[in-house]
Amino acid sequence: MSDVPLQDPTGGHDPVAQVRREFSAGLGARLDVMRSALDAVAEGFDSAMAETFYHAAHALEGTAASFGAHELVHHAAFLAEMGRRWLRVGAVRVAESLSASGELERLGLAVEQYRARIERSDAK
Amino acid sequence: MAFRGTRATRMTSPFRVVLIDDDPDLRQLIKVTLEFTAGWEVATASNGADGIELVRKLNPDAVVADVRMPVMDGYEVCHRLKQDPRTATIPVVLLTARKELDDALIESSGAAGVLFKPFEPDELAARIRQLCGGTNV
Repeated sequence: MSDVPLQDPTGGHDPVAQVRREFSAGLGARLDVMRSALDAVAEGFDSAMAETFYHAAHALEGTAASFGAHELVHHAAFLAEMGRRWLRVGAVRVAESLSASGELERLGLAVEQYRARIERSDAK
Repeated sequence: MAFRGTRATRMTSPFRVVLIDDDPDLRQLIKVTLEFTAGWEVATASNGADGIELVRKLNPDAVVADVRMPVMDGYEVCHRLKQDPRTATIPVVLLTARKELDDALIESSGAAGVLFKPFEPDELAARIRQLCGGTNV
């Protein structure tokens, strides 16, 4: 078991909102994983790094909407599809790595928008 | 973590679920949602091997397992639970994205049903309840 049992994780506040805040706080780490993996595969194809990239993008695609982060989904889906293709083909073209890099930047902006929305929601 | 009751006493104790998912955020969202909005007891594992061990140990009322996990996917988890007489009757709900649905694998795994991602947290308990069908949830 990897999770700490939740007795009262929020001090009496909305526990689902607390989990949403933790998800929001962890988005930077998810982006970092994708950036590092992209940098690695852009320098030379590495199936383990391509798998890391794909898994991080795919996981975000699958989880974001459940946290209300709908603005992240299509960026993550694009990146997951790209990672899936790299694993299938066993290579990364320069144009693809540039395209993925641009999409990662847009995903970063979408993360900022989501965080701002969460903060506004929490402030109410 | 240990559940308070046993399957035999579930008429008077909370519904107990073992949740297996490698994504810590999603695991926590599902756990918190089911515990705080439905009053269920939820034990979690981050991979299939630990999850199966937990199911054998806790004998829960239901299992929710993500399909796409490294090392052992949700289909394999479900298949192994169904092969084991100790866990064969426990309903297993698989969690997956709609576009990744594989009807043949779902069928052969023996899963009680599929829960699609993304899901609305508020609807989670009702959907699991529905998929577990005849169980006393």
